[in-house]
Amino acid sequence: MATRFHLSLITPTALKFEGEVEIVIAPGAAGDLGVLANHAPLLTTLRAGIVTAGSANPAASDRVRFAVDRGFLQALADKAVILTDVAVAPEEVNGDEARGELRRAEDALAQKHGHDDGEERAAVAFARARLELIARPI
Amino acid sequence: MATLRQLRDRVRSLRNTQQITRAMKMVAGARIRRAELAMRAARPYANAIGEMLRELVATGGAQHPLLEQRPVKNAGILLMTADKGLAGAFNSNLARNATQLAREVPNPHLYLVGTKGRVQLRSLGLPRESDWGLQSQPFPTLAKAVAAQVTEDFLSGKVDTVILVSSRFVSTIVQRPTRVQLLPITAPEQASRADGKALRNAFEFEPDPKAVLAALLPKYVEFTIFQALLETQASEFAARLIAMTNATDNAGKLIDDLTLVMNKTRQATITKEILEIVGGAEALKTS
Repeated sequence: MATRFHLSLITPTALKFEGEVEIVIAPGAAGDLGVLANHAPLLTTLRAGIVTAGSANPAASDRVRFAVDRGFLQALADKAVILTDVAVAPEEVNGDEARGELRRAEDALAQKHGHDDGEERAAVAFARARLELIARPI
Repeated sequence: MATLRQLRDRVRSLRNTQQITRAMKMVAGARIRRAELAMRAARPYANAIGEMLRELVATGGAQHPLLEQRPVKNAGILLMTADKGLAGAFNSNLARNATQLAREVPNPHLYLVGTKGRVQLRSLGLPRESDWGLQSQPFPTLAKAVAAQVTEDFLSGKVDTVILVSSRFVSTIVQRPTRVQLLPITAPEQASRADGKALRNAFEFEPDPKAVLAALLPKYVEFTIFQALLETQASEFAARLIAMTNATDNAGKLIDDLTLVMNKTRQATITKEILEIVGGAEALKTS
């Protein structure tokens, strides 16, 4: 069994998850990254996407998944902290709402024609992440 | 001396007032609990983002326009008040604090959250950049809008500093107006560790320190505003709870006093009538 470390997933309105995990997989700025215990001190921005955490074994029952908006990940040897505006668990996703938001976000993105479209890209990615969360349960 | 009817009308109107103040007291009491929970829920985020900011600034060479200290020629004052009154001295305390601040800083510009602040500071005749209602939109959205406005004005050089005046929720009994420098950002104080040495980690930044800073600083401003909104809101409910509790008690006391006077008056009338009847009967008997 791999060493466990402390993970907190925090939004301004709630402490969404707190517990001992073996691995965290998060959408880092430079691509998805997996964090294990004893990670070198790291501070990275996160893209909107899916955060997975729990036992190293993907089939383990204690794996949790969250769709997150853009945020930050801080990793230390014995703990990791994820900060994001919004994080939703699969059971909190409203499929119709997410589909509607995805459509609106995609329209908004198309309007921008590739200029200064960070917000819109993130909105699209966040809506997609939510839909993926309910489409593919653990 | 008031007539019986006048007294009865006054007691009735007092009862109506008391009913209203009691309802407001109960509403405030119910909402304060929720506001306090929301405030508590925001604390882990505050700690975490503060720590990240410290780490970033500690790595040295942290440079960003939002950290830049300039000589202050124009100062921005961001005042948060409630939208509604009937909360004791809550709004006037905040407005007074801001008025005082406006005298201490050069060329004050006002940014107002909460309609009461707008009313109270109108007489100063200061340039008003923007105002928002406290309840006009959900707090996360409102915080984003306010942050965007003050950040833009700071970066464009319209103001060289932004000072936030809001209410700190100490307890249900105590709410205190506080001032915080919002811009330029100063890293929160390092919480001293038990072993006396500061935590120093050689952090790696992805994609690079500059990019992380550029993402984190606006978030920090936005969150600071968000937290101040929560505290101001909780303070408003607490102040109203106390004000309305007092009002309800005072109305009760007045009703009691007036009822006593009313009963005495009625009794006096009855006694007088009996005396008249008895007197009349006596007069008839003797004649």
